[in-house]
Amino acid sequence: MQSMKKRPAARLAWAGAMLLASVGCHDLLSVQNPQAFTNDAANAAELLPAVAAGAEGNMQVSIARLATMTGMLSDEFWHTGTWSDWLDVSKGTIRKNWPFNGAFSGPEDNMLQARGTAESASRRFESVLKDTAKVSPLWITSEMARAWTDLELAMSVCQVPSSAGAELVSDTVLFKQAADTFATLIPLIQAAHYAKVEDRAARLNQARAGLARADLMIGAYDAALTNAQLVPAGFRYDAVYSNNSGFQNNGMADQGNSNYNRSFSIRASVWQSLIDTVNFTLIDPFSKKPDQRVQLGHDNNNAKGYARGSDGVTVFYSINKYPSYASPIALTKSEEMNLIVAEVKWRKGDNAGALAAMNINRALPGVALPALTLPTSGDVSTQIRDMILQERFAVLFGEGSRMQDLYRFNLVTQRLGPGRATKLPLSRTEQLTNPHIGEGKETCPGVS
Amino acid sequence: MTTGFTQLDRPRSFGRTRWALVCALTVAPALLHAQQTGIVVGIVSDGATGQPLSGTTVSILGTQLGGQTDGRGHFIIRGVTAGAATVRAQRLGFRPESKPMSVTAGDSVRVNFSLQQSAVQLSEVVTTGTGGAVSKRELGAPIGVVDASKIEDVKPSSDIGSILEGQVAGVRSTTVGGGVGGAKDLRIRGTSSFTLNQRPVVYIDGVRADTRATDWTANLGNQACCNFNGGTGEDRLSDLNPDDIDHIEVLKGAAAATLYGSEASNGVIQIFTKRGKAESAPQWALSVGTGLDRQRENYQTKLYPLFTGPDGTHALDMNKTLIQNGPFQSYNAEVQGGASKATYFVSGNFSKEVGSIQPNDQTKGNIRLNVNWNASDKLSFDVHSGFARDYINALQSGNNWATLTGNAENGDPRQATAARPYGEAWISVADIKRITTTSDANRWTGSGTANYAVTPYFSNRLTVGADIVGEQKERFFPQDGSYGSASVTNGEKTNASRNYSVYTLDYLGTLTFKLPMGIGSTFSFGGQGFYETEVLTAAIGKQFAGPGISTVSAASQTFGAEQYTHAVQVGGLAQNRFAFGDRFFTTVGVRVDGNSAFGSGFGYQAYPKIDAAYNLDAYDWLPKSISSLKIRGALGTAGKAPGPFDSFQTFQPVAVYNNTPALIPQGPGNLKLGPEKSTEIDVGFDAGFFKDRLGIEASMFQTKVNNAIVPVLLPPSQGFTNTQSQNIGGLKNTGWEASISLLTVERASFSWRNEIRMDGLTNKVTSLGGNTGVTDAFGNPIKVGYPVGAVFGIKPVSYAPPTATSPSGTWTGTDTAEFFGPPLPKFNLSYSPTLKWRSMTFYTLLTMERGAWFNNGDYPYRFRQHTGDDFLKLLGPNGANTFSSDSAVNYWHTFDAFDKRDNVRLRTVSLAFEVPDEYARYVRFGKTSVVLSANNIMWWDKCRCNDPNSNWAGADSFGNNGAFLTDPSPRTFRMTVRTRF
Repeated sequence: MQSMKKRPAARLAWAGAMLLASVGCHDLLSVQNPQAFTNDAANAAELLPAVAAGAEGNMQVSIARLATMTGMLSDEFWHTGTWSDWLDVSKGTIRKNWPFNGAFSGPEDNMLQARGTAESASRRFESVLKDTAKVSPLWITSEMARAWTDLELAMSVCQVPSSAGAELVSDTVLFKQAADTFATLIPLIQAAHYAKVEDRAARLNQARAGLARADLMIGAYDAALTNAQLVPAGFRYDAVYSNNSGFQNNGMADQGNSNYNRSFSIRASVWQSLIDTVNFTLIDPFSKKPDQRVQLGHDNNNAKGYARGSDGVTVFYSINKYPSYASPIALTKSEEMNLIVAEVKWRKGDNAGALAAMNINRALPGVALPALTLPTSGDVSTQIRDMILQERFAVLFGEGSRMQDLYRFNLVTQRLGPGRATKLPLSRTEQLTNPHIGEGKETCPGVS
Repeated sequence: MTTGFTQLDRPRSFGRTRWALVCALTVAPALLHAQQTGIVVGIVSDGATGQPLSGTTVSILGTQLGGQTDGRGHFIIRGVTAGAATVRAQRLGFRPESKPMSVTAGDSVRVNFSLQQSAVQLSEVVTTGTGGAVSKRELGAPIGVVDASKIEDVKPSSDIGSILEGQVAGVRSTTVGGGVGGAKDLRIRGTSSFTLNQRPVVYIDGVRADTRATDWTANLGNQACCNFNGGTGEDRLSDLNPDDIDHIEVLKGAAAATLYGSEASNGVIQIFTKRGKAESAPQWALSVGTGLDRQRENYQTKLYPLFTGPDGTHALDMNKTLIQNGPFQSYNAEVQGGASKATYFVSGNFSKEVGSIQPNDQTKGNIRLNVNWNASDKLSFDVHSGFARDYINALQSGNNWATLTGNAENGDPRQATAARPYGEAWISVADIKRITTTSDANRWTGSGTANYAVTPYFSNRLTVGADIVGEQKERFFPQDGSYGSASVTNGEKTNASRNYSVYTLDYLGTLTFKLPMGIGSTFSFGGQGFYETEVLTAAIGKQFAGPGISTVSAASQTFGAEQYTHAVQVGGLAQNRFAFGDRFFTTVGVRVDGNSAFGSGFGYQAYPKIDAAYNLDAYDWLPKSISSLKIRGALGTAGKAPGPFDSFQTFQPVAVYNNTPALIPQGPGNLKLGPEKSTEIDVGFDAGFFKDRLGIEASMFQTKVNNAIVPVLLPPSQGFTNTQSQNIGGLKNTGWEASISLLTVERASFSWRNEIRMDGLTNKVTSLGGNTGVTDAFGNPIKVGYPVGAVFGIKPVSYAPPTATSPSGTWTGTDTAEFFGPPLPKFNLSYSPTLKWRSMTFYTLLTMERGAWFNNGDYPYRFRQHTGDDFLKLLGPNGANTFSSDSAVNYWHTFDAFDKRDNVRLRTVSLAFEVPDEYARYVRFGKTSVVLSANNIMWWDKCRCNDPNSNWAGADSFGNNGAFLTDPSPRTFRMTVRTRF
């Protein structure tokens, strides 16, 4: 009887077969993923413009859903659907365990990811382009995106990490960080190698507008005024959306317009008395005329079953400012600069100057509202402030500014009642995964 | 005691084997012709009833000669060497029997068998995961065997999942709703992974098969939109014709499935299709089925007719208006037979099942050709080829704005109008019925197997095969419907396709020889590989100019999407089974795998195993009441490969601005990513009592996964959108299983057989590698110390009375989500008695589940929608809101509902009647039977839901814990007539 141990030839043959199989299998086990690029591939010169576009585009597409959440937290919108986590936001409820995958967490994560995208793009440009990076429009694009994500996060969230995986900072610090980046970018944009003059001008205006807003939020009013006034009339910097893909869809249209879902609407409990139930616009409280800047829609006869929100109960007014997935959302625009000018002038006691700045917006084609006039009685300053806030509501409707306005003017309780969150809290995803944060490290949002 | 192919019957010397090999290759043909042979013929019948037993394996011990009995119980074995020999007959469910006889050259000898039924299955020969054919008596690992043809006799099934219901302890096969064609939850021994597919790997005649049962359109994104019909995907296992199946072998866990390597930690199911019988004239079998589907009328709309909408429309109760009888018809024809060296099996099947909630139907057609050719007594070929066409008109159900019954059940009857008579929540039922959602699959599964026995002690098997699936799905929203809630304006059309293929190459060599001290040894070695690709594509058209058009190109906006996955695996295996006499058997083995999904820095994965079986029967000291007893134990490992591209770091191309190409971070990747490796220890016994009239199989097992793939969330601020797969998690399954078979009465005119199967299972996460915030594929938290998919939720704590600002009071809940229970039952029981009286057979399958919980999303949702019977009965006169109704709405806005899934379910009741031969012969039929059966007839539970087994995401969805808007599976009533001639 012979065993395998006594058969060296068989053992050798077996080992050889295994070796051959192993070597042969090595290539066989290599597969390609044809639907994504590797990290190294993204360093290729022909892909760098796409990397820059990804940085800015990711920021742009992320604003819609974040603005939906801050809108619901404020008096701008309320929830008309059946999602408990959205209802929490709409009620301003703070739970100790803010939902992990809750309504706001995803949009906030998206914006944080957009900032991470911008940061990694900038690092890639610095690595690939080396010394020429900072005069490259590519690097300026990613840095601009980083600054805007900082700005939008600061407008929406009370605490976030200052950069990828970093420690928490307050919204005030983040405003300052955004302001510093914008300020740094302005001379670099002027020195950069832009092929078209208008491209350089657009970037300059975007940086100045961002800097003006950031300075306003941190109380650097003179600087805010200076930069706001440098932005030309007619300027817009839009978050661009498209029907092309779900990634590019305007999420605000998706949930707030009757063409799609009906999960949020204008907060009727606050604005009902100003809703024109015939033409479905908001009534300008000063002139009592329809304000075309807040266009709504309503299925009066419930012909398509759209009279109520998707909860089947709450009366639904469609947010017609965004009728389609491709509707752009203004990140900033010259009308906002006029409002910054108005606010700074009001803060400096120049009420007439404030009214004049606001009236530029009211006189625009398509708006054509009577000019605001100086109050003749009562607390004039407070009335001007309310005009500014009302104008900001109308001009910046659905653009993600309202919550920050109520917060910074300490009006949350007055407008919405006590016990509400004043800003969105840190996303629980970031809290639990960022090694510098962790459970219990967050200290806000405060309750009004 | 001997068995058919034990090593004791074989020569003792490996050297002789080599010598025999040389001889075989040189002079064998001449020798063969020179041999003097005879023929063995006979009939095998049921000892209790005298009825012939088809499909019984009859073999000549010590040789490879043998065959199966035909429909009349006849067998014929040619080429039996003259002289003394032993012939053996064995069949599932019967005690094997061996008879000595003497064969005279050039003559035939008749040997008849009268087999006695047995509740013990130790003599069964299995082949899956064992390194060749082996008796269960010699196995230390648990393998379940299901005699499909026997089940079909009493319970005509429309798919494999139905056949497996309640048949093997530890195997969960249950419908989860979603209409006709919806997927089933099929799993073995619970949950073995955090995120990977929970389905066992399935082989059909040795070829790896497509088992997808989850919706794939959602994967495409890019405007392919959400799940096509709410999440319940089509179940590709239902493509197969259950009438083609001979038997199914089930490897329950890692200890049994080690030889399948990196795809087997969820267990393995191998389906064997029928073969023709040698030396048999063509035998036809025809069956015709008819019947209906009828949904249980327990939707929460019974109070609707009490309410009137603003235009005076009386609201409708959907139980009375949407539930209909869905007709069913099926036709199956098969013919089988063979000559001395070749057999064939040919079948064709057509069936159409219409759902009770319509539109919804499934039309299937299958054809199969199985051929076996024994080229010589050393070389044989098996070819299996099956084609299936499976067309499903899917029900809009599940988590979906366009859910048909969901819109009715969530409708507010106080808002009913002529156009929306249920006060539909989002989309009118009339418009939903105009949506067409179809799936059309063409599938070919085929294999070729060559068996070459170099000598009787050295055999080789090579299998090559493929499973190729082409699915075409379409969804169409007419332009003139109102589908805004589903994000559809002016109509939409989607054409999507899935092209899946998997190729299998499998070689197994088996050497049988003797070691010193009479130790029998069977050495198996081989390799296995598969090559799998899946391509998903979609074309989407949105916004038609007007009604009447329905192509993608006719839309004003068109989009496309494509997704590709590719996986390759190669593995080698070696094992040796040792036989110490006829009682003690032990097997050691190892499988080594490489897989394209492993990280490039990982290398290969080894899976070792060892098992032992000790047969104690016939010892004098054993009580006489114990007729057979095997104790067994197995320790083995098996794996589960990660997702095909999970190890790659990726940057995703997207479009931004006005469709400008862009790149954003996507997957962080992991170069060291490897498979999940399950280590299982399984101990148990198989025992027969009272001459094997009572059989008990019991197992206890513990499975540990120490490198489970944890989808580690990176901080969003780092930019990556996907999680990083890391082998850092721990899982533990602890359970037991028991199967009891009792032949209570066995007489010629009356028999009563009882089958009881039960199992208990505890699943626990033991480690997440220090990570928190881990979620499963559905976003549910995974926490150490709790089961995977554990149900967590906020519980009520206090209530503050009403105030001016809170007129319904204020509820406060717990600060953090608290544990309710596991998502899967901790205890399962099935009881299936079979009573035969003369020509009547009465069969029942009753099941019970206990311990599972779920988030019953429907219940609070209806309150939030101000609808459903439980809300409506709180209303005052004229449907006015009351404090009670407002309070209830307030409560259910604050909390979710968590319910137990515990239920007792009457799954099957059937009555089979065998037509007396004289009547059957009158119309020239052979054995003919009529089966009346009803399935999913009734269930009893304490759940505030329509069906506690429902899950909107279909298969695998018990990790989801949601039954949201899902329709229960319908009751089915069938009459089937079968005849053979």
